[in-house]
Amino acid sequence: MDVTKLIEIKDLFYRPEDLPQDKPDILQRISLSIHHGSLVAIIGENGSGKTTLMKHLNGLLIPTKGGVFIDGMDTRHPENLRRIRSLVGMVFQNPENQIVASTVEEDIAFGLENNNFPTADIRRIVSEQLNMAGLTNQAKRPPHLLSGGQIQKLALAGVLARQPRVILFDEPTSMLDPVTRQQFLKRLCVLRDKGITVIFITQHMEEAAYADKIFVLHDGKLVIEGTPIEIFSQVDQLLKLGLGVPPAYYLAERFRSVGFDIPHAVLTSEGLLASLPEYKGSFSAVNPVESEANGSEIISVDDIYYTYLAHTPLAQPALKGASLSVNEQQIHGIAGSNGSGKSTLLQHLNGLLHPEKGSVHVAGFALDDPDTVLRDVIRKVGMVFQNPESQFFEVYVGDEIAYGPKQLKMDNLRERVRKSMSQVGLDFTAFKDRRLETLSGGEKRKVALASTLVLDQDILLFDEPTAGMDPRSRVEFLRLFEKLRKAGKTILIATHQLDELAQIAHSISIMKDGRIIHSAPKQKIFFDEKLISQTQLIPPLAVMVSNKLIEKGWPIEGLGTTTSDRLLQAIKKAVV
Amino acid sequence: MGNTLLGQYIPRESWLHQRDPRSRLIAFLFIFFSVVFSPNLVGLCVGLIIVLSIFLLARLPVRSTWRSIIRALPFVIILALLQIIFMENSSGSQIIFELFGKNIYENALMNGFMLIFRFILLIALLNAIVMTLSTSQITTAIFYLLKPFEKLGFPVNDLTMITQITLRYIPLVTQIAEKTVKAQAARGGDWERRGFNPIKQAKMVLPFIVPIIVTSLKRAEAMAIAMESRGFNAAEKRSSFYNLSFTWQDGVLIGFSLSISVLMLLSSALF
Repeated sequence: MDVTKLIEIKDLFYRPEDLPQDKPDILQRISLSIHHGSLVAIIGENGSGKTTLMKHLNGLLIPTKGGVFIDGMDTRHPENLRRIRSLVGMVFQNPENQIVASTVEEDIAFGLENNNFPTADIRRIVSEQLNMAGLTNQAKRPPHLLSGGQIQKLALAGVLARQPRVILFDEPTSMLDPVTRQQFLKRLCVLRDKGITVIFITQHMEEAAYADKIFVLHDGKLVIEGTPIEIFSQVDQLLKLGLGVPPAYYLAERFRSVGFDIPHAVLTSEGLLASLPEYKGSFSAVNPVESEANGSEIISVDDIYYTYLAHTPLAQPALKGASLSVNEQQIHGIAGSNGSGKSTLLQHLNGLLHPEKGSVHVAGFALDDPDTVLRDVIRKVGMVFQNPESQFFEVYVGDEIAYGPKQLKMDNLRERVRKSMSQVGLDFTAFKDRRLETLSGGEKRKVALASTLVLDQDILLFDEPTAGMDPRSRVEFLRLFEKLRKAGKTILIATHQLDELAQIAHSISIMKDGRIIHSAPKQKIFFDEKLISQTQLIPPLAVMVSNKLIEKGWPIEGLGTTTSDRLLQAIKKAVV
Repeated sequence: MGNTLLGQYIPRESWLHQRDPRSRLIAFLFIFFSVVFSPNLVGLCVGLIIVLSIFLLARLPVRSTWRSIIRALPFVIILALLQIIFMENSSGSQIIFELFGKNIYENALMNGFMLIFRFILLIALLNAIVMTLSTSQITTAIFYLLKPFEKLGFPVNDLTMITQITLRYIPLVTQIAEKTVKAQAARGGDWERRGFNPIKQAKMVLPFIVPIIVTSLKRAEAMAIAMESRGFNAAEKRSSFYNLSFTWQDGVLIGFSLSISVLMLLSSALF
């Protein structure tokens, strides 16, 4: 037996017992091996079997056919499981679900208690882990009051406390803001350097680029494996699989086409920024940025305050004097880190929350006035929550979408449902009678969008609409937003992905600590390095590259190079 | 919408907080039962003094407790009124006045008053318990109190885990409930409480309960899987993060609460 092969999968098939006859196996003929101390990424479309594969690696699922061997131990033998699970720790997609205890310190202790460690040892290891995770001040807090980033650190600390040799992460970064995400990726590399084998699932190709090895799944089969550079050279193949390449790789490729000399191995933003050329041309004209046409103001928020659990020992202020103004028929982005108050602000705009202080006017309604009827507001303002698919309450797709129009007693129910489904790209006849739980993650998100779009409101609020979606679905969503805006809707998107706002938003507000610290057209926001550095956000790649090029003398300042297309146009002009 | 106060344990360094969780749990149980069963006003007054001293001793905030009392008060008053109106005169007490052709007796009034008093005390006491005993302390206390029975084949690990998960679940279910209400309200569900319409409100509850149960079950499954992957196995020996130590001060606490409850329960015989 080869000792460096820590994990070995041979001819793995998996089929749950209750799967209908006509469905193919969830995993089919997967064979792979993972070496000790490597950093491995698993990528693939929503529903391609990534999580199912991962659950085989610590014996949570047992193969229907074939075998999984961890350090030589077969997961099919129940007597191996205890040993396997102390070797292989797992951080789940929704880390909140793996928190068992009711205080932070106790949760870290849980896995150690299971190993029957003496109390003194447990205490020592827990305090070490609290320290490493930076959670010492939170030790006695209940987990449900932690931020998304903290929950994740807690989940990891609970796993690390058991000193595993392998750690599995299922989409660890989907809910983290960019800076926290960067820190997290560095942490993965540190773990790998300490000799821990790290395996993670991701929807972000730039994260996969950090791995030593990538496995690509499609429809339950392992279709490609290789180093990041081997994988990402197969661009057409990846696009066919609903995936893509890291934005930096894509941009590097296009730069080569205009004559830049950028090494083929560049996959990450850092690599790209480091290899940009000096400007040697003589072009110097600077075009002014075209200004966007402005409509009239439709949302106006003035100095609002809101505290969760107000007047209790656990009071948590979420909004501390936020002000916002949005004009109609625009796409407006609200960008900010985890916990900056974006969701709370959005929930004030459709009347779900009432401010303690300050005023909110939306589409002619005074939402701070307790006499305003919520249902009247709902007719004008729609909202799609974060992870909307976790809030489904019907059984069938059609009923879920029809819930709103039924409540508001709208006519032409069937037509409305049909129309909203076609807007998001779901076929009415094929999907209306499907059970919600049989849908894939991407399809569920589409149903959630349709169930709001069906109400045909003028203003639409989206809270992290693309989080957890694969690259293809993300592109589809951005196109949909653009289409809705052209149809006359006003759209607000709360997100920490500035890249996406760069492609579709007109104006952006930056949120921090319960306040809007700046609102402006997107070019002004993105190129304001001082502003962005105050937040946990990272400017779009095209902006970072533009800034670097401007530093190197390229005459592209003020050209609004917020997307790679615009950046390339500007460069072509300068090169000629 | 959006305000639920749960898991409201307040970490303090008070004498009460420092006692062994087992003795606190036992002491609270004594007081709780004697408030429930105390037969007369004197007993309840003793209970009041005890509850007030708990708040003082543990330096607990009063505001949230006050609010939960206010919230429950209408129901308690209705109960008390029903009792006053429908209670038959048994011991020949005096008729005070007549209402809707029914005689209102003195002892009925007294009983109604005691019912309100008792409920207020219980609410305050329950608040004091959650503020001074964290869920984990409750779990540990149960674990160690039951441990001696392990030899008799009593499933202590299972029971402790059930308690722990239940307690962890309360805030989770509240969060799920809140999200579902918001999701429905945002799509036109009529969740605003305008006016008093019990039938309508009851009708709203059904489409609300079902998703909560479904989501809770899904989360329960996810949590069970997570526990398994973190090495939990109820059949095997587990240790604990807490090492409890029982001191003479804990003895004092239990002894004191025991004598208080005896006093409250036997107050009719004593006074």
